[in-house]
Amino acid sequence: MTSWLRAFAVAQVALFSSTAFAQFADGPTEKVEKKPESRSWTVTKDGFSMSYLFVPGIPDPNQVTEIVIVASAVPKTPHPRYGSRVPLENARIALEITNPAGEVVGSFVAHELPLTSGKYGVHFTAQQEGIYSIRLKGKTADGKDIRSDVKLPVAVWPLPKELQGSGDAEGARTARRVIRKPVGK
Amino acid sequence: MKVSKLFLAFGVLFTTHATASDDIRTFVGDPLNGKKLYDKECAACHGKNGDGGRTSVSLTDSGRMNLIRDDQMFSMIQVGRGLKKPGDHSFTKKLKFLEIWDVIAHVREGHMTIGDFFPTASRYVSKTYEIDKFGLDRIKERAGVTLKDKKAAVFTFFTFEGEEGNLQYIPQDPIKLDHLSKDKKSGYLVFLPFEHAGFSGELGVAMDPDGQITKLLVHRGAKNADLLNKDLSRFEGMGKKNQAEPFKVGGGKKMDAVAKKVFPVFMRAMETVTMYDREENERTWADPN
Repeated sequence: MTSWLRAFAVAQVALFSSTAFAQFADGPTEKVEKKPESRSWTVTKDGFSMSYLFVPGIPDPNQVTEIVIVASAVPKTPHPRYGSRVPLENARIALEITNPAGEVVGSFVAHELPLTSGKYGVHFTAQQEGIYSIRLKGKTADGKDIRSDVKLPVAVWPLPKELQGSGDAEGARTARRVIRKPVGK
Repeated sequence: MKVSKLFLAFGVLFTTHATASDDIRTFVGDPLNGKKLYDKECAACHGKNGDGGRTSVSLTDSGRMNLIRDDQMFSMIQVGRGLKKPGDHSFTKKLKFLEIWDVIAHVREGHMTIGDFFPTASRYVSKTYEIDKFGLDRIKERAGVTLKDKKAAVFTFFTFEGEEGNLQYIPQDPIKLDHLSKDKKSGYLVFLPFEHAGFSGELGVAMDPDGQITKLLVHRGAKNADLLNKDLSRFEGMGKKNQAEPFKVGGGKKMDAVAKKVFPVFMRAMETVTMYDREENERTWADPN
């Protein structure tokens, strides 16, 4: 009876130790974060600010990605209504997309989204793993050229250091301070 | 694993296909997502390949499809605008704003687009013309063909300095047409049926204002299209208005056979263009030169 118990105890210890040490077999496991549902990136250049929102944040090959671009002009003096970001309405915008192999996939027209101001959207299905390059080319309603570059990582996770964060975060909307005159003067 | 390899291979094909021509292809939406949506929402009526299906409304007829602008097609899909029964063709609850553009991008992949022929033009007009009796007689006399279908759409392109590539449609409005002077004309385009060596589809015939061929193309998605387009490119620079003699290109019997098929199509395109020219002359006879 005791020998049977001893055998059982040894088996239990062996089982526990094998499971307990198995997790250290390849060193301590790293905690990998889940892919984000969306990812944003802002580029401010030549008096324009382009904020890109990618949904899903890190697409897989053959998964459609919705790219929403918030296009705005950065005025030298704050706009009385919009502050430091004036929505670009009626601009003509296209995204020239290059795959990780360096081949241009095509130019995709971004359409102004209904009931929005300065928001443009486009769908794109990437077919390869890797980092796609997106070059935004466009013209404002008054004929000024808009250019900006952004990367689209496809099935690349975790992101390389240069693609972490949200680009040029500077310039969150800051409205012009309302100057109130004292009543009666 | 096999599936992902297949997709990768397709991806490579797609990208090489996109960069096969030197100029970058423009899409109004995502054609790959558009195909998925098309299969789900449209294929039952228009056919899996857009060849008509049970409605017999073909989406691959370049001549007819190019008469519909992207924004018109958007309204057609969204609310059925311009159709006999708009309610039956309203997808506003099934397709989102950008998804409709994806479907349009996919449909545009199924036929040739006018941008393939005149990439630097700034304006275009389009209208369907019927070849008159004299034109039909000339085709019969010179190409030995009696036409059953006498109608075809003519797309006429104009280029304005500083606006190259910014192609805009000009409606059939006398005031707007008045701005399209003959000296700004860059050429004509006609899509016509063409059959040769197993190919059966459409041939896009692009000509300059004098009737000289600037481009002959079949749809790049067709079987053996690359080879056929290579042969057809040898006809560029040939032809003129009132051309009477058949085309002669070097290259032996193979090219003679192509020339024999191309000539009647060119004649038909030329006679349809003559109908446009006649209308244009009536419109502009009083204009100063």
